[in-house]
Amino acid sequence: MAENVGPPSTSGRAQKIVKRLLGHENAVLVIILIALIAVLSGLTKGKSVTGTNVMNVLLQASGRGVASVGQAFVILTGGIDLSVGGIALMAMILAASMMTGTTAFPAGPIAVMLLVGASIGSFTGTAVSRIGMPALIVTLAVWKIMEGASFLVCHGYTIAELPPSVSFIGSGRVGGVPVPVIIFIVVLVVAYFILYHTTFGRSVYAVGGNPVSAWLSGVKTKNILFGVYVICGFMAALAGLILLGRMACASMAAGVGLELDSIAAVVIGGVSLMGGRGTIIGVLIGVMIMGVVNNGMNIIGIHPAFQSIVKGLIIFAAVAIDYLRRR
Amino acid sequence: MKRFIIPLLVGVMVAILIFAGCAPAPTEPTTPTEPTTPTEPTAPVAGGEAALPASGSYLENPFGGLAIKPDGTPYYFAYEFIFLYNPYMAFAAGIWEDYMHKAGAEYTLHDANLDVAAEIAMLEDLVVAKPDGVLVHPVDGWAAAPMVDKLTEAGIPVFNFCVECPTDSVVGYYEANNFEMGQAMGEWVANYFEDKGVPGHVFECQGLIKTFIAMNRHDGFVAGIEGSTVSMEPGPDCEWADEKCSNAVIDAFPAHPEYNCVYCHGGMVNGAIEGLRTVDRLYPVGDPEHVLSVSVDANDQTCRLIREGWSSAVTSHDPWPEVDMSIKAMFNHVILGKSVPKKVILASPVYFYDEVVADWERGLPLIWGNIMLKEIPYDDLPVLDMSDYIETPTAAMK
Repeated sequence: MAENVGPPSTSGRAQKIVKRLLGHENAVLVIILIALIAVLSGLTKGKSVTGTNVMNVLLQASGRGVASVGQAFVILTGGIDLSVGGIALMAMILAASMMTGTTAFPAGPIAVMLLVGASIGSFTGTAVSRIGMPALIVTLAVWKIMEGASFLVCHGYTIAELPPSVSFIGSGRVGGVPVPVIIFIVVLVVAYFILYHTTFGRSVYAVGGNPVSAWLSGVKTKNILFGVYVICGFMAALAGLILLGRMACASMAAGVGLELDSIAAVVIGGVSLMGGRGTIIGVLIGVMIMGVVNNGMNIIGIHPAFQSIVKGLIIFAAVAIDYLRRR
Repeated sequence: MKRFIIPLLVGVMVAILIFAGCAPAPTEPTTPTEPTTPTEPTAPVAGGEAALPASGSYLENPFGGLAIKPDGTPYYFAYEFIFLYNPYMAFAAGIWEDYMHKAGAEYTLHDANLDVAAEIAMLEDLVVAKPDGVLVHPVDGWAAAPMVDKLTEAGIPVFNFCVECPTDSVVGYYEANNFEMGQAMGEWVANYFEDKGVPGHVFECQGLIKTFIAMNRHDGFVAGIEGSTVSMEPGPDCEWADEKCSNAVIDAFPAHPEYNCVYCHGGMVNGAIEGLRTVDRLYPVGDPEHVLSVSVDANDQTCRLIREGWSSAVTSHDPWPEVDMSIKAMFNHVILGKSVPKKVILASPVYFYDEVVADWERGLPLIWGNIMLKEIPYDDLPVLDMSDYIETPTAAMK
């Protein structure tokens, strides 16, 4: 019988496309996200896909998303930053204490809080890259230092009566799009550009993939490590700014869990905890998956104890998949 | 290895689905029952072993059939709170669930887990879920206020207890003042040392300092001892954890033998007692060497330690009357369209051995820790009679 050597059939082409899509890790994440949205839409009787709710999810994802982008830079190098919540808290409390009672747009305090974030990141970066201290311990220490320092500034009390323009950062809109969402998009675009179109970005992957090879290839690994912690500190402060705007006050209970949320979003988004592997688009999807799941469970009204179990299992699954892929 | 991990993951996912399917909220509405009239008072129950008297302060289910709309569907209410894994919050959640069951309402619980960002996200999600009413016990009232306004703008009435949301949007706010609790405790300690004729040196186990509740309790205590011979040394943030409180006492007391009192901001006095035991400073109440251990929050462990004669005194707010009032206000406002008190500050007395034991023996469960000790199921609890503050809504009023 003659062998069919003609062009592939339509079904064969479709199979190839599906195979290629499934081979791309972000495509799998997108499929998971779409499936989650569909399932939750059914369970919430369509409430989760209304315009208001989609905007809510985006708003809620923005602060965590910005922190997750910073965290992604660190994790791509094989490190981890547990000080994200502490830095966000410190930046918020410090800026709020400078703004309270004023009415003008607080450009100065905002600049200070972002600088403080980057400075704390540079401290962590120095300890990790120059001294060689383990990131886990250094960032844990920085987290506790920030928590204590924040308390000394506010004495445990919430700092309120901030200028109205601060609320604009958290809940204002430009062209119908919430300001935090705009900030998150800008952060994503800038991070994408840095990671894929600069030497620094390529070096981040190289250091994470194999630091010794990267060093032998001429990559200044210490500078790269220093740089990612500065970026992460800056992003944490920016996340703090969004949170400050959303709450219109600074509270000692802000930033709690931001470090774990950001790590979870990054890992769910396919960034390997071992470093060297992952994408910014993946981080975006990871953030959205977490946001959609949290939002859906809140609307359905899943009991808090089960919510905790579900979130834990999702993180467990993401890490297990990363581990299996590495093997 | 791979062969085992993939089936394990699949199994885990199946477990998620089963758990999610078993999740109790939103609950199925319970079968509406006919409203009943309050029962006549009966004789107090001696011994109080897992029994509650109908002493006139309690009502059998007055809510039967109340939360059912004319079309037969239930009202839906949501409750957002600080942190589930804490005796006070767990008790409040238990009362909430019990009252909702009694009324036949559908309800959901939302745990902020001490995270302000999570809290405002949850409240924002409730705008979409559109409950008929929301009860908020916020991590930070200031931070939650903008979302309370957002809920109100969406036509969802918000009620508030324990930690105040400083916004006019809140329909009703019911609490026991944290500053006053600290102050009452401070005054009690000052009087104790004045009667004894010795100066008091208090070691403070603070916490959870990231909630301003703790700072209010600190400031209140300082105000309470002002002008007395009592001085206080602020200790570390023990984060409501017995172990940290114990460690703080173990560290502080050997270095400062002059300390003769421990003041705990929360229900972690168990840790303080264990710490005192470790450093050989634990003497029972009434012993000349007794080191005072006083606290805020009369949880089960605190009540037990007072009953056993180790802990000296406690002042407390009580989740039962606070949640009772909040739910009654919610039912009155949402279902019956009645006006409700805008703000009520409930009393927070100092309890010591006589009160705790007497309450136990009379079976009066106004100290929530006593109810926890008796392990009375929430479903068996009657409804409080708080008619001095708020009318009890019934289906007959509809």
